[in-house]
Amino acid sequence: MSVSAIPLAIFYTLVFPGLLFTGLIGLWLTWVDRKVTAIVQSRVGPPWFQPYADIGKLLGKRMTIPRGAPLLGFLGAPVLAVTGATLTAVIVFVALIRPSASFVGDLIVLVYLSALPAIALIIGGASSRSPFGAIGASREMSMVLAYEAGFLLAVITVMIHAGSVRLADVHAYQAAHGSIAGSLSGLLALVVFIACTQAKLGFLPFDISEADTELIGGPLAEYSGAGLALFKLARAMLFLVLPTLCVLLFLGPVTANVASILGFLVKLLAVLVVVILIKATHARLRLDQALRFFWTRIAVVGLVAAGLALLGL
Amino acid sequence: MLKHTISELKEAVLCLEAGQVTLRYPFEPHPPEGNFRGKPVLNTRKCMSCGACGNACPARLISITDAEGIRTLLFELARCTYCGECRDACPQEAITLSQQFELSTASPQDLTIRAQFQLVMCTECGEPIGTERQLDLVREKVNAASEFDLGALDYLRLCPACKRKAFVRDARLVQEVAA
Amino acid sequence: MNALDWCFKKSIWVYHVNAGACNGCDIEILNALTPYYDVERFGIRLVHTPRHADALLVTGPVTRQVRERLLRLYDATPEPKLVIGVGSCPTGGGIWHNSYATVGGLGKVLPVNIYIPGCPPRPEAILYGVAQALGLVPQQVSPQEYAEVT
Repeated sequence: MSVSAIPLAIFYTLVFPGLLFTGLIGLWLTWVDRKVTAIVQSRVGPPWFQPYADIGKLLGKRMTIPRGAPLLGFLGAPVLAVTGATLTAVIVFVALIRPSASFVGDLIVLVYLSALPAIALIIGGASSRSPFGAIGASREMSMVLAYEAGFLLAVITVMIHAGSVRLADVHAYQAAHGSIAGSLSGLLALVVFIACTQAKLGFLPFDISEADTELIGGPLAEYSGAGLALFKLARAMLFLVLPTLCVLLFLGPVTANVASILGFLVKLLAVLVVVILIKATHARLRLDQALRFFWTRIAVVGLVAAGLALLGL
Repeated sequence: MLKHTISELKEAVLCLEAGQVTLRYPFEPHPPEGNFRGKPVLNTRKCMSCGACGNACPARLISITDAEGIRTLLFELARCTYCGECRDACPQEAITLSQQFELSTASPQDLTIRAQFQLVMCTECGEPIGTERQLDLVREKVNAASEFDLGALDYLRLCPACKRKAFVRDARLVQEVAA
Repeated sequence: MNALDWCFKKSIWVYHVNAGACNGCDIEILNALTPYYDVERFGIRLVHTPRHADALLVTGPVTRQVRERLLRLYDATPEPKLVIGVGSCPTGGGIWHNSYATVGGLGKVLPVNIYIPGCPPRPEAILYGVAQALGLVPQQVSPQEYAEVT
């Protein structure tokens, strides 16, 4: 990469489609989440600017640091979470806008980068010097091991269909052959992907590590002020990026005309509404129930999907 | 798990039938039902400062003190539990529990009722008898009960001890007893 | 009013503390969170740790046992914060004002921003009190004075 491309890279990372763009849109999508939840619960819900007011308020609070907490872990964890979410967003959107910038193996890099916010939660919880943080961190570790397997199997199914490990090649394959969810293995992989997205985003029924009523926020128990704001921002950014990735991998290509972009937005909204409705209507699973669900149901369906994809179905 | 998910999603769609149940308070008032017990209000026209409410209050927040010819009723409603015992105990029905429930304040001293009444002194010995309202009530009740015009006499302005002495010496009452 | 003050007014996260209450006021606080009254319209959210909270909703007359824990919870809440006493018990001690087991009101323990009297207060009254603490609505009570003196 030449030196002259560095300012453009910084622009991509920090402004569009990186931190600023994904942050603002992602925060607005958390409002969509709260509004749809409110509609299902027969009430009004917050006004549209609520997530921005929440983040602004958190930035204005004094941040308390537990005595004796390792500062690198405690303060570095929120920054790591936002970094992971930003880089995931940059790769997903740049591969869409400039297919030539997509590199071989970027799908695998995406899987790793999208796990960074969860790892940041584990680091933050373990550095909190609080029993709630420790338990939350250990539960998050178990959950990450469980859902990342399903996530990887769904992505592997897409890679087998497209015959390549490059995100731009997946777009090209779908442009040529129709959406991957049209095939049986693609449909199974879509279900697996949505279930793993629910867990990655820390939504009910899989939010066992951050249980408000059981673990007082788990890894987030000792965070306040700016640290909490960064974690919430990372979560909001993932809330935009992961459903976008779902639509791009499974539900068909996006070309540059208005009809296709509108179709993309409708599909994105549909995936969001499914995730939100599942969140609004389910109770929290226990850790052993969630692990059993992911290892015996989701991973098995993912393996079946990958097998069917190898057979060409 | 899948059956459970699908049934839950069906329930979510059913709940949409209820629409929006949120009350529009505080943008529209939402008054309580008729027998709601809100902030006590003292009707000073009816109160005769007898102290029955002070006896009845479980939180002991009603105090009646006499000082320098003035009787002061003080209701420190900061610790009122809105039980209505004062209203039930008042013989004059001077206390009502209003419908007011928006009582929030930064200083609980805003929740006080203070009523001061002039005490009437005995014309003989100068001791306080009671308030003007109490004497008016006695006059009303006695006039209603007997044909004898007690108001013409000035027994009302005597304290109980001086009243006993005056009864003994009054010629008109001696006649009455004889008849 | 700068941007941070606006954000604070629009987004209040409350932490509920039961300092020896009978649970009547706690149930009314729970009622205020239901769809019928829906405090989320105003950005109010219930959180489960004082570190995330902006406002402490304290019920109960502060018993002697809970007093030290209440002070620790107050210290754990980051500034800027509000303390709201819900019910007659924090306001003046309620009917426990002269009991040996209670301190006799929240004002003796913490600096209180607003009291919401009631036994228990209606959920509408709790909403009104929180709105008044944020400066959105005026106070409606004032002392009643009457003097029939010559």
